Amino acid sequence: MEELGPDARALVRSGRGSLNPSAADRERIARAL
Amino acid sequence: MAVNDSAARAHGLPEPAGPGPASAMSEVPSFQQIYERYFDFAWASARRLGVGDAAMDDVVQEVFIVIHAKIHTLQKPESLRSWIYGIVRRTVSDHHRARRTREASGVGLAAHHELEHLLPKTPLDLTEQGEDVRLLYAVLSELDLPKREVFILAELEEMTVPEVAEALEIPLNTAYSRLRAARQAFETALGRRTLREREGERWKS
Repeated sequence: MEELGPDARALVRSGRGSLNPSAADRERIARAL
Repeated sequence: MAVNDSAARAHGLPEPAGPGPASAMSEVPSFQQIYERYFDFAWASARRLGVGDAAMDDVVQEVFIVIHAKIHTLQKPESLRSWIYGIVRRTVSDHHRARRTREASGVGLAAHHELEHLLPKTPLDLTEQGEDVRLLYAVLSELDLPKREVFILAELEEMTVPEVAEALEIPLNTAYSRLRAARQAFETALGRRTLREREGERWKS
């Protein structure tokens, strides 16, 4: 299958994990469960 | 952490895993392990599916209540991430549907297709993110939802195509062809934006 070009690949790499929660988010939800 | 079982029952969900055959499978991680390993994934997936800051806690909490209640129904432990994504997707869809129903007072919603409930109504709040991340999501916003979803799972979450197919409950060949089309659409949209930026620079100079 056709892969992404270098510019697109670099952009995708920059976005991995970008919307991950903070430790505080993780603990707050854990407390609520 | 002790998930409130009455909360799960209140949602009309099955009882949490007991000492049955499925929970005896050593491959099925405990709820605690699932929370530790997949919290980031569930959270980021909900954000990408357009859940606003104010609703994030409620939606993600609901996701883990459902996971707790249904973990004993998991048939293939190796498909855990796809299974969790399916739960996030349905929970977010319910959330958007309820929000839109409230906003529109129930008028004219019957015609909405299921996928439309997943489309973020407002752009993601990316003010705290870097330039590259804002560009990435601007490019992604130009893809239609089916392509965007496949692209995010395969490229950002680095799922295999069979995992993507399972997560979205689509045939494997559809997942392959959709990913191919999504990559092309992403490259085209990125190229367009790069060209526009270069032209803008030329005008300025």
